[in-house]
Amino acid sequence: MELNNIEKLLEKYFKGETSLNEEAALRQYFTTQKVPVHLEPYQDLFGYFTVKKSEALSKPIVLNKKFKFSYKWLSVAAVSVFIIGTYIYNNQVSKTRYAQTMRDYQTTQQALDLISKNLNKGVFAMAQLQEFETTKNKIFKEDKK
Amino acid sequence: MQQAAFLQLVMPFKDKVFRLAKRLLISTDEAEDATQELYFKLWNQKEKLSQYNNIEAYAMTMTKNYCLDQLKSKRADNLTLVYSNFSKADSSLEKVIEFKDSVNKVHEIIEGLSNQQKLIIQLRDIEQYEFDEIAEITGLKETAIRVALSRARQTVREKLIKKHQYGIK
Repeated sequence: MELNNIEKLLEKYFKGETSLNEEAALRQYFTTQKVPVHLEPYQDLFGYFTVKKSEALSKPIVLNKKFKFSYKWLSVAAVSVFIIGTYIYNNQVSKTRYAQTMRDYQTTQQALDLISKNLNKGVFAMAQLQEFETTKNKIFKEDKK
Repeated sequence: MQQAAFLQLVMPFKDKVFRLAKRLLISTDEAEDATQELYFKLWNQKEKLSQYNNIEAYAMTMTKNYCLDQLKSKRADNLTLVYSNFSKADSSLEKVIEFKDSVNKVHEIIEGLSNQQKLIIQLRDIEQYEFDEIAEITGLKETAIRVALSRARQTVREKLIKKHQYGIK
């Protein structure tokens, strides 16, 4: 293409008025030919567009990703493990505490049983003493005055 | 829809999706993740896809929205580190091509444009979409697109010439 034409096209391009075809012609011109010095900056520009257009995604796309590892979810997991752990721990502690209390209760009850048994022995002995007293009263008539 | 039919429908424009994501998100890694995410979304709504007469434009719109959202949430988190590490993420072959001086020069200039300008340059000058397609993707009017495109191209031109003169002197 003639230099004159290219310069006109460039002005149109910077006004945002070129069609896709005209822009393709500009790219074609600037990437394949040796250009005059004053147009060299545009060689960089259109060369850049061409390079960028050829850039491609290098990673394969996964469609059925169910779980994507992320630190967000890791922290969520850590916090829930902590909470559940604390809950279970507390539960366990209160259970052993309950068992301990039950044991103490039973021991106390046994002790009380023992005491009451002994006490009952004493009561029985007292009853015998009472018998002794009545017999004595039968024998020794006491003076009522 | 079967997987094969779905793939036939959406795979032809996977590179365009990736390139658009990369244009907006800058880092290759993030662009790959965004592409993956987008295709996952498309797959999840595969039954609805037949309603759209231009699935490619629909996918490009989704990509644009997704990337802009990502940028917004990133700005909220103050995570701007991505901008400094993008050059390391690329494969070595790409580096050879991409960091050739002249390409890099233009890349830097376009990087400095606003998101909307980047988006329009990407769609028109790299992907070569017609204006009505760009209107469909961006939701802007054709006249507005032409104005924004012209401004973006002018900005690139001025900076490019400045850089060029600097190189000669």
